[in-house]
Amino acid sequence: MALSDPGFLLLFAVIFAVWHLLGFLGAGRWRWLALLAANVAFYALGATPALWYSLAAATLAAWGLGLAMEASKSRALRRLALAAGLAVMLGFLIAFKYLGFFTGGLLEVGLAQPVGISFYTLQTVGYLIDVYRGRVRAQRHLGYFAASVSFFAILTSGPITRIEQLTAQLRDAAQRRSFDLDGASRGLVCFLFGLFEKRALADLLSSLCSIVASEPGMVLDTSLLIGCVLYSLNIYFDFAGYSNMALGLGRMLGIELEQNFRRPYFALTIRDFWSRWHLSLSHWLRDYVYIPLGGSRRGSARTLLNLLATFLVSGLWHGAGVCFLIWGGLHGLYQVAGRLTGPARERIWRRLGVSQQNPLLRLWKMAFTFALVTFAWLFFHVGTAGGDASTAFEIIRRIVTGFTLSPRAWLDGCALLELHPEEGIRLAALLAAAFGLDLLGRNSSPEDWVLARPALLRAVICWGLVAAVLLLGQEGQNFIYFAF
Amino acid sequence: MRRFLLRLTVWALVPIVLILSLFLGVLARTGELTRPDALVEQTLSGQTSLVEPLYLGGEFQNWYKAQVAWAKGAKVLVLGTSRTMQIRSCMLPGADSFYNGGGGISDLDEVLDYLSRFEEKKLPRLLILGLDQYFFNPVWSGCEEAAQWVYGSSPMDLSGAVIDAARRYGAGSFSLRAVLTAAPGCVGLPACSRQRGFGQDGSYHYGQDAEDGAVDLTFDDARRRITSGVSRFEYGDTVNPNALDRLDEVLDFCDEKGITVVAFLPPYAPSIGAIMQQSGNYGYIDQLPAELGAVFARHESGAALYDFTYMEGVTDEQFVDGFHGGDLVYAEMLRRMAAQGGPLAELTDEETLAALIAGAKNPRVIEPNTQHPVGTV
Repeated sequence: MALSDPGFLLLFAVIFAVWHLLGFLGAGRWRWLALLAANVAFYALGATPALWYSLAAATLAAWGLGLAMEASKSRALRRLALAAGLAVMLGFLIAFKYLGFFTGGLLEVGLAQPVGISFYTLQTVGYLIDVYRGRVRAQRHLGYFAASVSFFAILTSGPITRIEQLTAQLRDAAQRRSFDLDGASRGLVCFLFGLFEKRALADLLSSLCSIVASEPGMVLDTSLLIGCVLYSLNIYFDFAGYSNMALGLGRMLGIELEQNFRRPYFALTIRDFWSRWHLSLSHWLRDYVYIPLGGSRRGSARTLLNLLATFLVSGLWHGAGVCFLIWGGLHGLYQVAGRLTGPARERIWRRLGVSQQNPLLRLWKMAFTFALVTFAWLFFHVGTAGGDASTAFEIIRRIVTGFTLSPRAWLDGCALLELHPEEGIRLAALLAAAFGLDLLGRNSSPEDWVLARPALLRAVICWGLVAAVLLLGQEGQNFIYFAF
Repeated sequence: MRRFLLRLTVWALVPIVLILSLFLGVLARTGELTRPDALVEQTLSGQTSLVEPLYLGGEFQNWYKAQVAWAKGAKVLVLGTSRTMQIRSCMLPGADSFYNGGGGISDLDEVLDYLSRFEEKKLPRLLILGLDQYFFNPVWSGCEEAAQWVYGSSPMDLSGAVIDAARRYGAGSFSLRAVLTAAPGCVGLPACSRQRGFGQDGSYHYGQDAEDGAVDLTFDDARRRITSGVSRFEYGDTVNPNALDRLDEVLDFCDEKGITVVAFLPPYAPSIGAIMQQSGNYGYIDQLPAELGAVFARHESGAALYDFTYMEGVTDEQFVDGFHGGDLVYAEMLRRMAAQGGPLAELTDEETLAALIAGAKNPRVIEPNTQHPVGTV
């Protein structure tokens, strides 16, 4: 079940009612149980047995080993407990996701990958490492712990939230009786915005560009380049839409989740891009991969190697395939190249007398960064579609050799993607609305900007979002990140 | 909490209820909420003029055409897949009663069971049978034994239909004005907004889609199927003997019941036919006239067999897609069939058909739908 399904909205209405009723009745201490029941109900509708077993095992192992680590005075035993925990968590992940890839297809579990395994594995691994380091206390209450690990809003596609942050909020919620009108209103608008991004934009973009990776031979060379750009937009709105829905749902329950995106396609450099894209994953990789490798503390050469390694891990986390490794590797190389050439580039602009705030320079940087990111997304797209690297390289070859300035060729390219003039106008309007709202809320958030408008304008904007979802929404496509 | 519920109601619930109610009304106004059995009764009592509901579940089209055919018991019956649906009653003015049951079967192995379900007194006297070429391709269908005709309709998914209707409106597929001004007797969104659907005589009208331009303008869909060898364009070198056995069984039944059978192999669009011939992958088609002719020759009911596979004298423009001819193509086919004598010569004549063809204002439509006013979009 996806957060955008009508069935889920009915389920959430019940969850919302029960959650707040418990507060009003002074029974907030049972909210953890209500959340756990909600999680079970959410997964009961469509979860595979593999999800239950792996999630239950990961939860129990992480909770039990966390307590064992904290209780043990022996460093060796603590290490053993950590090793055992990592073996369980990563063992499930490797078995379901990577076994076939690492053994060249010789070994396979033969079961469908549990939805969200990549996300809750990172959560539990991060928790165990933090307990081992003494950064957080082990969670004693299994119920709070289980409700946090399996939180329905974030389990399937993030944001990757630290378990201790969630349990702390659940404990606060246990004491809270009053209803936070502003928080819930922000959550509602945030959810509507996310639903709009997913249904009206991401699903439309997916229907236009999916053929590029699945059947590139059926379209023109110009279609391939157009499709690549559309995919960059598709993956952003799909993922950002889901994240906003998750944030909105959390806020309606009084739970604050981490913002996952900050207008990434307005980034001026690749480094800037990664401070705006999938922030929860970036922070996790920084804390549990980059810094343990030495971060930037061991000289420039080692820093660059650590960056490259971190992005390769990121690529591999996204998928068991060469395409994902290439995607991660490209971003690692971008980072390395960016750091090596950054000072020289700044010198050049200074000598040309161009200020860093110059609008044209900023536009050029945004466009160049977008181009680099889009190039890397091609491999990601092909990998997600089940293709291999040779398909991606063939697409690149055709884009380069088939490049033309002929307007007819570009129009034909659009037509083969079913991007006809009416569709193009509709898409442009929707993109303007989405980016517009995002930019207007850049100092706070789109939902805060909407809530600060006069009441009539607020209602019109919300009605517009709802109408766009109902009238322009496409047939539901799965969230891209469900596959991870 | 009260204020939040008020905000939730005003910002989200009200527009949702209003919009979905509007499109629920659209479904009701266009007859999409009509029960399948009620639709059959309305057709039989002459209350419908065009029928094409979008949201009735199951294989509604097959089920609906068969129910009407069995109940109506027309003496002249057209039977086959969608490639027979363009034969209209106006093309056979000499028929006492006529029904085009085309679109009621999907494969040759269903025909015997389909015919067996007629009450004795409602059996047709003349059966115009469309034999799609791929019926006889062993790769398409095994035809191991006669199959039961098993189509059915099922209840519609109302919530899904309302949301789909909203999305079609958002995509510009229809206008509210077209829905409100739809001609009486139109059932279904395509019928009301695009004048698409099955007429009273069972023949199919492509409506505005055929009048504006072919449904598949450059036959891209057919080309892709030929390239990949899929979806009725599977490659094959020999005629499937099981399919010939099925045809034998059908003609045995017709012999027994005194039904005269006139059969034809329907045409491909000229450019598509050329591609198929040049590919060399459809050897079985070249063998069909001889193989089928031998089967027909063994039966009293087998009055005539006509091969229009690679029909000369028609153009691509007269086709709605790569393998569905428009009305003029079928009128021309009947003209050629009638010109050779036989049962069809008693039901129509060259002058009638030539007049219909000459009077067409559109390469694909033989009677512009003047009785169904076009709703503006």
